[in-house]
Amino acid sequence: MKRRPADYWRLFRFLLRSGLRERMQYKANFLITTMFRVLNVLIDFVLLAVILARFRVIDGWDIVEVAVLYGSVSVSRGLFDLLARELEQFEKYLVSGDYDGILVRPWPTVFGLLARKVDVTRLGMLLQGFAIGGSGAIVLVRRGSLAWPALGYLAVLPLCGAAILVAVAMGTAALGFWLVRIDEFYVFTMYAPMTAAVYPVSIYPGWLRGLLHTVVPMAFAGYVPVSYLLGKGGSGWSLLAPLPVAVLALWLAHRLWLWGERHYHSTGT
Amino acid sequence: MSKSARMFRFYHTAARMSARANLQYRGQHMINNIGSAVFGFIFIAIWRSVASGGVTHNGYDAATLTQYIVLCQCLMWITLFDQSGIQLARRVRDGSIGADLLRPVGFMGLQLAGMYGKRLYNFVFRSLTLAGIFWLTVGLLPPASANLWLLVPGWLLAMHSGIIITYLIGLVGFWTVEANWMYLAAQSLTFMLGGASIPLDFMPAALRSVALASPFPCLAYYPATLYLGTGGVRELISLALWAVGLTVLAALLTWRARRRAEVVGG
Repeated sequence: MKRRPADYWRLFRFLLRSGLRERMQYKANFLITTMFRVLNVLIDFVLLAVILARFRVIDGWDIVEVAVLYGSVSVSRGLFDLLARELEQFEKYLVSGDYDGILVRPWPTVFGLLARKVDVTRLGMLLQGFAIGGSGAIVLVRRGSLAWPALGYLAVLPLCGAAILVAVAMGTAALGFWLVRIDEFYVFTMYAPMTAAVYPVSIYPGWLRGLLHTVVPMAFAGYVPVSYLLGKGGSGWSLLAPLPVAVLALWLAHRLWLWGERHYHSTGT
Repeated sequence: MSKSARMFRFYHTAARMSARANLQYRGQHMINNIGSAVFGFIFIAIWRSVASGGVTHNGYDAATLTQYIVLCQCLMWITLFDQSGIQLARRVRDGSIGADLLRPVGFMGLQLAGMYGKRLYNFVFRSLTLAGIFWLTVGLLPPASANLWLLVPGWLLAMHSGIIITYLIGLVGFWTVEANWMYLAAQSLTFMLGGASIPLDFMPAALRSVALASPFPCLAYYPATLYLGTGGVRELISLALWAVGLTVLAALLTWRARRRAEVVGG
């Protein structure tokens, strides 16, 4: 059955509403969980602030510049966690056999999986990323280090970052069609690169820089374009690169997903 | 056989079973170890970047900071990274906790024995493996010789405090719908106040005072400083006091939780 984009949008709004309703059954729990999820991510920035308060710069980046980098990656992560968290939970679908139910639905299987849950407790993470990144960007504009139009670019950059994260998570999940137990892989493919991308990538050893530019291209979610915007290197291509990288990563991950799907064996439960 | 000997044997069996259950997943845990090592390399790169050019603070130079990060990455597998508390809270929610409460042994002892088993597994298959990876890549120095007699009791007390905090996270499940937020809070606070990614000596005075008044340095900062030789008897005493205090708190809360437990369905 051919679906129109409006159908997907309608389903997304429905899921968002039902996710919110589900969470609001236990309001205090929702608020506390949201708060601690924000705190959990905010810690990265607090620690960075403590380090930079002591040492002033990290590889030529001061606290305000790092805030922009942090904001960009954080919003990407917030978008991913809000909409595509189920990709990270894919192992449980394979082990329990629940993936059978998704296979028989009249939606593409990836969308069917994502549609299982919209986790509204991640909204806080999204907002704090916007707040820190936005504040940093405005300070840089006032300082004259960043042009006003760059704010528009920075506002849409996390869409590419989130797409890259979806691609990496999809690629990792696709390995589950062969390996089944994949939860531990996410530490290597998702969590570590997300943490690494919050800091200037130039500080890492060559092999890690290479990984962040290729296999797990999180450098394009922040460091590559932001470096150019702040005059720290790169060319005009650095601004364009995140889009083709995200599209290519999504395409490759989806191909791997479809290929893996042909190797899926149900548990029969 | 005396009653206490029977209990000890029971707890010992529970710990051994918990460790053996984890052995089934050691292949995946090795993959996770690579991820943990990458986290370590990230923090090491940050510290090497800011402390390059011989910049030091309170005796910490780039080399000492590297050792500190390596130690914390290894330590946290025996003090913090364990989702047994969340699983305990989940059992409260689905009612299967009823079976645990009916067993003819102490509920707290049984839970702690399982957690001890898991931590011992983690020590061998996570901490030591990670230590090996770091030793081969960035180097890992032996513990400070002057502190050798403090190190073993210090690390055991750190592990015990970590286990009790994990157990307390699970106990929260008797009062709330889920305990995931408590686990997140413990992680966040250990990273910020426990010194898991930054030695407390680098923190502003006010934040450092708050950190030192909390139990979180027991999970990373105190045991790491005992290894490096920058900590001593004072750190060991803090570890012992917190271990006793947290255990008493856990026993009291267990008593309250047992009275509150209400298992529905079957």
